[in-house]
Amino acid sequence: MKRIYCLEDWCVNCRRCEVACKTAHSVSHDTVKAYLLEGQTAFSRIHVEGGAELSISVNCRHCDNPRCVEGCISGAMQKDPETGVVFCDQSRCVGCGTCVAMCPYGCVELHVLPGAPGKKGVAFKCDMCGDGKGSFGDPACVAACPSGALIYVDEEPKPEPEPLEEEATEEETAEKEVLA
Amino acid sequence: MSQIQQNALAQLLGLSADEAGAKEPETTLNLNLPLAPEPAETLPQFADYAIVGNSAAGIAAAEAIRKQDTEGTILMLSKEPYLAYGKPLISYLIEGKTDDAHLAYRDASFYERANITCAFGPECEVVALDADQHVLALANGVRVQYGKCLLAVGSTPFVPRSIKNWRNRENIHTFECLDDALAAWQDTVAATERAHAEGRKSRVIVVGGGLTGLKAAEALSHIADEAFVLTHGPRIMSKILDAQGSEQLIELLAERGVTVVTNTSVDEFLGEEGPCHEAKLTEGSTINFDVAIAAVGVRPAMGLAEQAGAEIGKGVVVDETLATTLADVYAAGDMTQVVNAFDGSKRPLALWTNAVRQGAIAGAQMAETPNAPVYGPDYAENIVDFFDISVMTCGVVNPPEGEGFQTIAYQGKDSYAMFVTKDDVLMGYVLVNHPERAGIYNALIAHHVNISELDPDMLGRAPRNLDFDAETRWNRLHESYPTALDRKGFAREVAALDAREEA
Ligand SMILES: Cc1cc2nc3c(=O)[nH]c(=O)nc-3n(C[C@H](O)[C@H](O)[C@H](O)COP(=O)(O)OP(=O)(O)OC[C@H]3O[C@@H](n4cnc5c(N)ncnc54)[C@H](O)[C@@H]3O)c2cc1C
Repeated sequence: MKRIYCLEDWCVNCRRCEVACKTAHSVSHDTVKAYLLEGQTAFSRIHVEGGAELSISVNCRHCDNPRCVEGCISGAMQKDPETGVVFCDQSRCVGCGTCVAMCPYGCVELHVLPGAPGKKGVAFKCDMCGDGKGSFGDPACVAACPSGALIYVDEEPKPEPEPLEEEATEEETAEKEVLA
Repeated sequence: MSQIQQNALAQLLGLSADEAGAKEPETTLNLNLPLAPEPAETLPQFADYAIVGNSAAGIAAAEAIRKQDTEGTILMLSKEPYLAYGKPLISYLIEGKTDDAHLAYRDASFYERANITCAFGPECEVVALDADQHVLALANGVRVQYGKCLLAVGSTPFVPRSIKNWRNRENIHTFECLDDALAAWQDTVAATERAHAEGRKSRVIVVGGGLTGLKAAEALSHIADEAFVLTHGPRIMSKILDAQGSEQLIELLAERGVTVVTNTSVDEFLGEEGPCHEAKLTEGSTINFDVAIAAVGVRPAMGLAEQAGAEIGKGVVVDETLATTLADVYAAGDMTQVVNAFDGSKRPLALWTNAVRQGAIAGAQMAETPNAPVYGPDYAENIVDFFDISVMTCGVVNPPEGEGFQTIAYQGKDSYAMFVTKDDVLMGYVLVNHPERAGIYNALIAHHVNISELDPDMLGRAPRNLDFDAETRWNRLHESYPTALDRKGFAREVAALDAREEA
């Protein structure tokens, strides 16, 4: 899969990635409106740590074995088996916070949306600027990075998995026929 | 007894002058539950993999099996008629933090896509396991032969004999599964309507101050006018909270309408059968209530394994592949005995995350996945929320005296953080309303990081990735970083790049 990496030698703490992320995840897609009008609903999923001396921009690593997914009690947090994108189906999130404590990088946050029942928070995290359901898009943070600190590149290829045979569906129908 | 404790007891005994207006119950249960399709008339007589239990561990195992083996037949059995649902969600459902349409743990086509034959419902309860013959006997008399079997049957509620007459009382419920929750919910709605018709407040009492009891109280407090939690010890969630954390949480719960009465439990539910509205407390007084929840504890569901002759300890004994001592029988989830990574003690670890992890390993092992992961000593990572309160605890939280543990605590107005260290290594924490980037602490604990080499302030504020040294930081944040690039992002060797593009 393609991944976003931060090269801290180039990170200049400008925080344009945060601005771009928040804008990309707003309804208006307009930076000023995102900050002035959508402060309660549009959140940046990338965070710059540090200051002028040393800074680093951190977002979800879309881990191979995501602990947030392992711990999710509702099934909201998922890793798309095809794309590898880790995403949260907020309609199913109950706000327990397990993913927050499971993420080794601190890349999941709960935010309470206006009118949420029982002031329940829901999990927000990087969705690769796709459709939020596991697809890839064009990461806004990378596009906005002026210094080349955020790169969006193919990961090191993994050793080939065992070839999978695709006969499952045929067999399934056969079995159903037998049962019927 | 502290002031809070005294007040709580006084309130329960009706000695306090709290005359707040009664709540109007708004809830009518009209749910569309995620029912599984009826099991097929004729179940297969043989399955390569039989998975008993359709929850955290069972689903994770099925998914892991399918990653490796797309052909082998999988039969999944559950005594509940539902599609897999997040068991912890039962309280969120009552509270309205989720709804019937979002209870299912996997989408409706999951079983079909994974080519899993489902046998869900009371008639599909597995009543016996014959490990020699590789046969499972179901409640409906069907016998299924398996190649390999996974037991993932979770835990069952346990009420000590010291609490008398709680069984078969219509208005005393356990709170362990969806049907329990629905019954308790329905009953509380009806009882509250009755109470209001009689011009009085309705009252739910929960016996047991563990996670389940507190979740039940939280949920039902949205319906009943009063919700009390009685716990025989001085603390709530005593295994995963320290004294101060418990105190803090009790206070926060009280502000939100759940009153915890410590050092007090029920001695006896009065009367022998039928509904019960009076209980005698351990300290002697008798109290009234409308609905009671028995949530004193759970025990691993070991019956099947035990009868089949598997080795049993504090849970079913498993090796690092999650195999039981019976040939071709594996076990995962709440029912297994886990070796504690810190003190070597052996007990179950009844947590969703742990069940998923074990299930995934068991499945990979059953399907003989090359380089399948193994399961080693583990520890609890407990994350739970009550109302808008966040509680996270991990690892060692009540360190034994005199073994070189140190604790450091930070008390805020509505928050509390306590860390346990030993030889400068973080061993555990309790965080009440202190969730920011907490997972970084878990990473420090998991990797035995010497925190004296990190920013000394890091425990007093939210931890950061920058707290790690440059090398560790790079390694942590650059999983699968392309080897062709150097750390500045420049092509390391143009030749290497070209070669890869050609391939
Ligand atoms: C109210 C509540 C709140 C919780 N909150 C949290 C939380 O916030 N975080 C957390 O980590 N954990 C929480 N837990 C614990 C968590 O739910 C369990 O650790 C987890 O469900 C264990 O998964 P499991 O797959 O081992 O077993 P279970 O989820 O118990 O599933 C057992 C399965 O086996 C089936 N079964 C049992 N016996 C038989 C039989 N004889 N034949 C056929 N089928 C059978 C059952 O129908 C079920 O499908 C909570 C539990 C409760 C009750």
